[in-house]
Amino acid sequence: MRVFPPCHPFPRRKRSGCRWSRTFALVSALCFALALPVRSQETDIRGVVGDSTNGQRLVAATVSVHGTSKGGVTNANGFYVIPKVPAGSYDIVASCVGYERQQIHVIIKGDAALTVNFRLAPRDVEVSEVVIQGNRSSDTSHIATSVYSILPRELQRVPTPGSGDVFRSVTILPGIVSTADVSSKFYVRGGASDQNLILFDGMRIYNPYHAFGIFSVFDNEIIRGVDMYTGAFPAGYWGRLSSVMSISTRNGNASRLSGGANLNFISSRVRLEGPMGQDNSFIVSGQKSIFGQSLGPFLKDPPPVSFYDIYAKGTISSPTGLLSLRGFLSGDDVRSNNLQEADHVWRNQGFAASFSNLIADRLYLDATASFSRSEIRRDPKLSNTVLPASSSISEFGVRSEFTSYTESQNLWYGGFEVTFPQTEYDFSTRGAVEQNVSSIHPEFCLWIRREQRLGRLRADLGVQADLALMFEKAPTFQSLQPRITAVFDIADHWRAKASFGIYTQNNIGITNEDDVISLFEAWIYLPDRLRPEEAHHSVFGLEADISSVVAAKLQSYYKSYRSIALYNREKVFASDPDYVTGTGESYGIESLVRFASPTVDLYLAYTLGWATLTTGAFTYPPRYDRRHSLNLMGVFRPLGNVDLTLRWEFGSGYPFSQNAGRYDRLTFPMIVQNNFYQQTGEPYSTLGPKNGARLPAYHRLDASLTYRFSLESVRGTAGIYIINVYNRKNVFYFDRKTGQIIDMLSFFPSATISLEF
Amino acid sequence: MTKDPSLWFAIAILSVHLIGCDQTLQPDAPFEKRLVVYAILTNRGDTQFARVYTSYPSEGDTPGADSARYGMLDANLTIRQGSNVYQFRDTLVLSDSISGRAVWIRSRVVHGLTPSERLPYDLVVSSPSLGTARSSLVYLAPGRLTVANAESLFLPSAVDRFPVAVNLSADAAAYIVRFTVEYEALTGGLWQPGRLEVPLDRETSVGTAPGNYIYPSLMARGQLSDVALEGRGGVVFPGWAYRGVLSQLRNTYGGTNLRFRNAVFTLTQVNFPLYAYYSTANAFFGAATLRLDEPDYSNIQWGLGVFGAMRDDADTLRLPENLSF
Repeated sequence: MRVFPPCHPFPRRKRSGCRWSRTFALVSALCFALALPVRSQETDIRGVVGDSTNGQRLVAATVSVHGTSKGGVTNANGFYVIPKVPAGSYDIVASCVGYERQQIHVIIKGDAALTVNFRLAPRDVEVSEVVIQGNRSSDTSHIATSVYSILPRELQRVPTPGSGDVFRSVTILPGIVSTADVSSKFYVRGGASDQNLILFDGMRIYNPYHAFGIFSVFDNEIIRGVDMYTGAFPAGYWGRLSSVMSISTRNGNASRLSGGANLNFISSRVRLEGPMGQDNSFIVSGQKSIFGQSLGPFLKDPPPVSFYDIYAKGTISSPTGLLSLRGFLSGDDVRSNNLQEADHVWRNQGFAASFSNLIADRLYLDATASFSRSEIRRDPKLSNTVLPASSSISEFGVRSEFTSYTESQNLWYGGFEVTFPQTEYDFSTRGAVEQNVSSIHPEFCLWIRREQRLGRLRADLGVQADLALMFEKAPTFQSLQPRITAVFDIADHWRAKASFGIYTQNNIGITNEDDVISLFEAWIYLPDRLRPEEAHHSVFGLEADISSVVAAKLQSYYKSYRSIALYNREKVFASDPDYVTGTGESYGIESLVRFASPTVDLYLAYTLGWATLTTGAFTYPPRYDRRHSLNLMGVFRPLGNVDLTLRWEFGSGYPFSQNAGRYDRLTFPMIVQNNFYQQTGEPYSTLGPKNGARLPAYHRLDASLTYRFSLESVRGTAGIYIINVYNRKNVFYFDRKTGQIIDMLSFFPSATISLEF
Repeated sequence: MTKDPSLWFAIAILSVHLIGCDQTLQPDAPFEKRLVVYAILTNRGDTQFARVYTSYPSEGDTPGADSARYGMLDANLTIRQGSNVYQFRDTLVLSDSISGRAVWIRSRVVHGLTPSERLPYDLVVSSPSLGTARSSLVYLAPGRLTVANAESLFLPSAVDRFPVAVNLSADAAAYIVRFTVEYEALTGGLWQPGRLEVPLDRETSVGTAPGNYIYPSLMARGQLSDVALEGRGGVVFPGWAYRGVLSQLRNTYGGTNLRFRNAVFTLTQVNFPLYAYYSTANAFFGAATLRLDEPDYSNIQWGLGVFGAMRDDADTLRLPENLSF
């Protein structure tokens, strides 16, 4: 599968600022120069590849000119171009994993571009074919070292308590860990959770989680695919130090009205989709929690959690382009009846409009205008230990990216993005002083990259220019960020890969470094006195298709944090900065082995990693530093319509700071009266060396048994899921004040039923 | 490999499982009892107080604030200045009103110790069971304050503000300037001395309720409260606040039962360790900190707590007994 950075809007300038005008003119000139066709007895073949049953555009379908070396791969909108095909008579062949091949005969006479659209018919395939062939296709087409393209089928496979979760699913990938069962936040290659860029159809999303982070807000059924970059991501992705998760949604069924529903112990979900005129479609999906109804009769204190999410998308298709409007809303409420326990409220919303089309003979444009907002509020009620706080981040952005098909195999990509992230953080200090920290800092990036093939060597050469940094405060190397990847085909089924990239980040999440888990995360712009956070990624890897049923990957990575915001350990006065610029590094080895046969799929991912942070002369491991991480997943198909999935996860313990003891600390409320000797003080826990100890190892076995059935025109799936089959007591956290140890999810059975029509 | 991959799966799970996943959580590091020492030298008299007790393990029930009264009986606390050794003794004091219910607190006291400016003082707490904790400081040099229009104190109605500039000693990390009016009031046939502090400002009133007065608080060195101080530290007292205090006294006692005595401007300086401890223990003073952790500070070697210094310097102006305003 070819990964294209998400589609984004054609820029609509609000005003004609001089600098912007020049930049726009420069980009436009470059685009059109690259798009100029060669006028000779050659022509371009172009078109879209779709699914014959529902009109879905197919990504990463291969289109080739039979009998020649010419060909192309469809982009995120199912569009392809095969440039410079000489005059003659040809068979054009389109193929895609899971679909029947289709061949169309064409005769090329003049130099006018020829449009050839395909509608591929799905075919029954073995899952193993999708697993191995699909991933092989992805691995060979990607010029990237650390990308995993995940299909909806794979998302469904990982057992989760609800109806499947994209964030829980990605944690089976090497290099990705989660610190808690009840948190969907993930940590990539020793990076913090705020260093992950989450794009949902091009919208930047900040807290896309339900119920303290137990589930994501995205319906698996609307997801077309997920591209997970665990490092060294290409130009076009920016603003985060560690990883990119790009989630793309599918279009609605353009052929007929269809829908689906899912019911499980945690939530119920419905989906409706259908055509809106020829080739146009809509899709609407909604989910509502049902904790109270499903668990209420069985539990003394059902979780005080409720949530909802709604997603809608409308798509208008043209022969080579797409126009889509989409939006989502989600909300969570955690409201306890206990007045001593704080209430939390989360709200997310996002809206986007995208336009994709061929705007010149060989120039394809993706443009998106988007707005997203995420907010969290904490009401302590009568709690003595929690303070009121609220935080929000709103971001309006315009992104435009072009692809230039000047040659069959070598493509140019380029684009720009302007965003206006606005952060608000209101909180009360322990002195009951209300504070507000807010900011709005426009960000403006340009990028260009080239995919080049030279025999066995393929390269992705790109550079990202952060103009906001360039104009404000950064040295050149932070502003101009090279992104380079090279892939060398050692043999037919062996590939060596290497990548290097520089990344910066200005918006950071605030959490308590000493907490085992943080429930409240606020976003702020880096304080002025701090340098932008900066990381350098280096990755080396080896990939092999060992046999027709076995594929393997081995990668090593080194991530150097040249600048990262860390707590100022020397702070004693209010005027001292809260954060200082520190450094850090993470490195490790990842391995992935996949086996797929008609009756069994096996997946093994192991990561050996280290991460450290340094402030001043003090170096410590961050709380998400995990030395060993092992994921085993097996999908067994004893019968044609029954799947048994087992997932076993093992992780060595995370670091934490031990309690070193307590003492009654005097706070000198009347310091000038100097009557401290009459004060009784408050118990204060002193900590041992920062993150100097480790939690016990984590391991858990999850299982699911699903049965597929059909009742006339209705297809259904019934499943039983068991989380933590052998009821392992994995430590979640411990209360420093009471010493109570809280475990993560215990044995938790769940059942689900899904119906589709 | 392909013969029975399921077996591999089972073997892999079992083998890693058996390798050793029976670790248990150790929330607490091995507990090492430590001395907790608080001592603040002041020049307000020749009696100095101190507190010595110990830390306690985290596990089990929280002993709570009451544990503070359990003094470390076998600890010997001395402060040395040159060849002079000041030996603190045990005493019991009643807890202050802020600490809730009154309890007796075991404290330490020494008489005859008035710290001298710029001299080093070494604190040593030795315990046969817990070893020795140490700290040292150099006592603060005098600070100086200047009331810009002191003569206006005798004509309260003629002035809008009293800027008070300060010159701090080099070792002062924070300071506070207070302005008090000393008086004598005839109550029960006797002239009783009293003093009333002049506020800096007043909170905005809410509804019909008047806003509370705002009094000076500890400020970090270099923190200015008014541009009129021309770059020097200090504060500005409003003329209305001074007149308000005078009016309040006259309304309370009447004109004939009240004698004004002095207007006293007091500069209190706090040294670095004491201010650092105070700031840290009070979440950096309620400033706009983004920190969510609870850091600690101590200058006690091999112990916890703080050994600090505080110094008062005052400028006293005699007021007319029947000051008119």
